[in-house]
Amino acid sequence: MTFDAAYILVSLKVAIRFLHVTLLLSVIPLAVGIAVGTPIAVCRKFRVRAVSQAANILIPVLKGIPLVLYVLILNFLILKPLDRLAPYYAWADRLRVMDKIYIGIAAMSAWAAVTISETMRSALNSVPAGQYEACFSVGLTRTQALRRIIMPQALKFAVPVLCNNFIGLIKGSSIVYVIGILDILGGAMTSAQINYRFLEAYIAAALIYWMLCLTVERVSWRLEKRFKLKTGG
Amino acid sequence: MIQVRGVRKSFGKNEVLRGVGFDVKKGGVVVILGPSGSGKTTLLRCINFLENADDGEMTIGDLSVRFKHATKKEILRVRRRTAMVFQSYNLFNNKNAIENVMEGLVTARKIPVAEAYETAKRQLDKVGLSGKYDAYPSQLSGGQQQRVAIARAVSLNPEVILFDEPTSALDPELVGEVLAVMRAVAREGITMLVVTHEMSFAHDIADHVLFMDGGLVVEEGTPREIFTRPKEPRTRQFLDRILLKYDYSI
Repeated sequence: MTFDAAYILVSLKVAIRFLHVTLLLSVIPLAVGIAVGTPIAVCRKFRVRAVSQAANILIPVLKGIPLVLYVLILNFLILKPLDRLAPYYAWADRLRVMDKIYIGIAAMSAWAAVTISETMRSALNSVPAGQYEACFSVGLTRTQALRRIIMPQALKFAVPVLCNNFIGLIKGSSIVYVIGILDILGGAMTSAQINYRFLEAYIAAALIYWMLCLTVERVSWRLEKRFKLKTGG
Repeated sequence: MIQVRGVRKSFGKNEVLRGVGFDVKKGGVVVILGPSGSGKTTLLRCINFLENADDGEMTIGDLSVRFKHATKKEILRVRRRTAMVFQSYNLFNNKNAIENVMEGLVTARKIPVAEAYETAKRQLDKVGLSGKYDAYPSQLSGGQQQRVAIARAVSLNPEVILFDEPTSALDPELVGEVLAVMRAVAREGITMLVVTHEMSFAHDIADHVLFMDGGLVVEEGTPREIFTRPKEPRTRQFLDRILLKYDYSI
């Protein structure tokens, strides 16, 4: 079979219709990851006992699990108990066709929370110890110090890494095809089902991911520049 | 009036402070001298609870605390009665000069912004930085940064300002401007506790000198006593070595 460059465009048109799925699978986990990961990082920085001890044990473990296993394990954990309940409520039919995007979002969010908590921890550690001490010496409480002085400085270190995390989420979201969610990659592949032009479909998907990541990269660049201006150098 | 008694602090097996005590009178300037590793800086950091001392107690005005058992509230109260000037300046990097001075006033002391702004302006003018309100720390020289830090400390109107080797990180040519500002602060009658290696400066502004070595106050007295008639051999040895360098004479 010859390579049909024109078919890339066909695949592209099909795949682009699933853009929102990929965006849902990456933007929501990014937000959840920041919302959950940041408090964890702060608790570890200030050695808040219960949280930091749990995190010290759990995070190294969770960090070592590949994203695809988060998706598979969560898929199993969520579906299994529901399957058991299904006969009593006559759900059986509905479960088969249930939109699994929620499972995908949950799995991606869990992975993002672990990753971003580490991003934020290293960002907090990048703020010199003297800044913390100066805060305390003028009588700021921890919360005030964090809000007014530490976080604004930590963000400068965090933003480029967060953008990298986001790119990781966008690209990583493509593995949700293992539980049958149709995202950009899945969509592109459906366009090849009829004529087996998979290479063209893959290239089409790659082009979309590439455009997405390029956009994030540009935004990251802008943000970095703005932070630099704000702190005067 | 500040009383410090029996401060002990170990880092692992290394005993840095072995029961240090001293008094500072209201408006007094106490200078702490000593070789590096004698625990001077650690002592200042313990007073401000940047380090948690293992033992000892302190009275600042009507507030008494035991270092080991201080509650969060007590620590905050101590910190709001003291201010510190650091060796490495430690200005807030995300705030400009005037915001650096205002931060403690507005956020910690809840002073209205307009009033804090006036105070900050006055203090920055006093340290000779009237044209630098909007400059960020990265745009200021070391000497200018340290002067902002002093303005920040003075503006809080604390019962005592702790100076931790404020000129040690400066280029030699910038030391003078910072010392001049500190002299002015001393003349205003602000209570100061100063760790420094600037001997002639110590002699001029101190009304009491502590000489520390090996985690203890080895000798104390007026600058005249310490510099001209040190009793302890350890003090004499230290001063001989240092003063030679500065060609000191009284």
